[in-house]
Amino acid sequence: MNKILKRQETLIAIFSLLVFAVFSVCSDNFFTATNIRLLFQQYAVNGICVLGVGIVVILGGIDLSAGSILAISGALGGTLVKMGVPTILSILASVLTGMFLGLVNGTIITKLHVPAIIATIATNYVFRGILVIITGGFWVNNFPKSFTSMVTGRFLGLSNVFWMAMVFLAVLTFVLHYTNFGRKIYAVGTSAETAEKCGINADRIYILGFVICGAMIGYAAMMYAGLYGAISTSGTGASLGTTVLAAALAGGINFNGRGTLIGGTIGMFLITIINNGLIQMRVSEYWINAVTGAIILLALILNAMNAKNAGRDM
Amino acid sequence: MSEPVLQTKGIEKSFFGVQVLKGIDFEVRRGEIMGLVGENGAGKSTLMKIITGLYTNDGGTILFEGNPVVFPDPSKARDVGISIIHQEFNLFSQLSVAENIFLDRKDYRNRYGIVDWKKMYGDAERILRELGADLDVRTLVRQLSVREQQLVEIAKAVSANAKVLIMDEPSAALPDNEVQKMFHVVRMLKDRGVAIVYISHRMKEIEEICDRVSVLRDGRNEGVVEMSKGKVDDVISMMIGREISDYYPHSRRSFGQVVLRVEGVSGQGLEETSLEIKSGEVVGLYGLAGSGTTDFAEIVMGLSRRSAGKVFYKEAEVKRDSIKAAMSAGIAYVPPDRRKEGIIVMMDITQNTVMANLRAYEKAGVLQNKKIYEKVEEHVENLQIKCAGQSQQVLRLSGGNQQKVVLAKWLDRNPGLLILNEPTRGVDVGAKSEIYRMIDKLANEGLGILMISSEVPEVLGVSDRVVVMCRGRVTGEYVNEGIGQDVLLKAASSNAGGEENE
Repeated sequence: MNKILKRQETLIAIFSLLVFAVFSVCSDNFFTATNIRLLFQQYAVNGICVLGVGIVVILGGIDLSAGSILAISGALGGTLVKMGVPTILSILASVLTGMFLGLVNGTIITKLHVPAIIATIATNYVFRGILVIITGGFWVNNFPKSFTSMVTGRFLGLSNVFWMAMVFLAVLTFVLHYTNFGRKIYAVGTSAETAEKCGINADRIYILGFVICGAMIGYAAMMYAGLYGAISTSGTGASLGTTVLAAALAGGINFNGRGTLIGGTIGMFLITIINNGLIQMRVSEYWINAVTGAIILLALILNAMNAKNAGRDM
Repeated sequence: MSEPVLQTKGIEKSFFGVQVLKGIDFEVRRGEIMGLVGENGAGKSTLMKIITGLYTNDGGTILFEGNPVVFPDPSKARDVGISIIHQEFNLFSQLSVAENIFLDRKDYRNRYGIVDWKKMYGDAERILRELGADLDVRTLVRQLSVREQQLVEIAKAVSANAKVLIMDEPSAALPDNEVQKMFHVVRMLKDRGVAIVYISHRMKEIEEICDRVSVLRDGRNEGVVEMSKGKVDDVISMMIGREISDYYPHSRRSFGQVVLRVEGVSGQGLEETSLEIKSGEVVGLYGLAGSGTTDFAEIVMGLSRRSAGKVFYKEAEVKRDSIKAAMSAGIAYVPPDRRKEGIIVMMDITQNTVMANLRAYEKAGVLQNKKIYEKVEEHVENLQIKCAGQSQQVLRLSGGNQQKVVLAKWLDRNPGLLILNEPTRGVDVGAKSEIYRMIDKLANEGLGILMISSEVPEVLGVSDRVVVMCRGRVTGEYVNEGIGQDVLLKAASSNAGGEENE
């Protein structure tokens, strides 16, 4: 019991519930069926992304190009949907695009020995730039009903996309904890050199991590397109990279093979709750970023303190 | 014989009710190098921390130049002339050599409170020159080699007019070929009359440099040995509390078929090397740093490029440059740098143990946790890994137990050939003897073992056959029956073989 309580995931979950309770008390609009539904929907897209980015962070990497990958994949998949390509194939195309861009990131980082933070800052600009050039900066919108209705639909009262995020969470958590590949991800994340010396191809695992990340973002991109009805080639996902990273870190995922995707998911919920709650409380837009930042900082401090204590009494 | 500069009498210390020092007497004289040895947990570092004022003692007295002293903190100890150089250096990598030497000194400011650089650089240069070091005092410490950084630490101590210099594992971080240079400086300080306390696990060094050795065991004095040739065995038996003959168990056994045959292999740092190992045979591969022993292991293992030659495992050729090929053939390799290459410190024993053999525990893509648990339990028992349980983080284990986890990881693959590279480096004497016993047992079970080591006594103690390398070539091969240390040393330093001279 004590062990569970000490876990970062539990700590952030309690913290999130606390924040949730505060908003429920402070705002009449927060704890309502409509808003809770909205909250789960707002969570959903980022919630899929955080799974991919979480894996990358466990591997010791970072992906700041997530937003641009989302925009490119979504723009491409969305265009295909509009052209009448079957939804499932369009989504597949979007996922493959994300995987390809992840492959590009992973390859640059491992083969050219560029630190992930620098490589993905650069590719973030490059991907976005290419997209704007190709599309001329126009939005991709006016998707057919058949597509949007699938995405905006609900199951048990909650957004379909939320359930999809949960399915991905379950699958990837299983992969991470109960398969060879998952063990190798944690091994490479903690010490690539040791992993190499027992026959694990660290570069390949690292690149695969980025590819999975790209796949998640590519899938999320189509969900975004369906939910919001448009991909702005220049604007969509502009802050995604940092938001998702903050969620992963707040949820206890760390750059050295520590943390779980469940933690990252809870971290993402926390950030969504904060954003939604502040808006419901009609906090001035000027304040929203500052308050969000402060709460994330608090979560990170909790994380750091907890890690320190855990290190001490073992 | 001169009076001791520093002396302790009946030092006692307990932590949380556990007595770790049970009345330690220790002394060091002017111009003497006093070795301090003992297994991990014997109390060496606690004693030094009490002397330098980091801990306070519960009982006993410390005498410095005949007067009882108590230091509230290490800087006070340093002010009177007792300096300590820790295993981990306390240097600022982004500051210059001179700044590091004089950082906490107040006499380098002029009357306006501005740093007097000229004086600081001048003094730093003088001190380093006296130590025989040719260093630019303006260089940043991060640009220095480990040995040079150590020199800066020594210079720091000397600049504080150290009368007693305590060196904690000074060779641990040094490349082997630079240890002699460090010894040179230590001897120079000794000639100047500095009393030196030399703490080390490495018996070879203790034998070479110390005048006397104090042995601690379980927080008690075990004795003081006047060092001279051959006395090192006495030291070891005092440390482990039993006869040295038990230390290197070596069974008589017959060898089986050839497990590894290496034919004329070349590569980075290695030239046309050939070697054969039979099953049940322990081959010691001895060489100084840069002799190519590690290159040999890495090339056989496929970790570094093989430019020529062939490797056979039980008559089947092993593909070059692929660790996977070497592993699936049946070769296992325990690398020399345990923390960097051997274990994943943040992971637990279970995860580390199965890391090289994950596929064996996979069924339809899913790991069989129960099977893993049972297998690891078996290893923990066989190798006598002392731990709180399988799920203990490897980080929390002692060096010897970490090394056993690395062994377990490779034994889990049931290899036919085990390459051990410096298997006892940084491991205390007790764990060392357990590892030697393990090697003997594994060989009896029919494993072929190649043990790479730069410690002659261990090579001679464990091996059936000894191969010596120098500059990437084999320069000697001996059946281990009555060969002397000098023979190995000579072969290891024969300048690329006698051929060129003849």
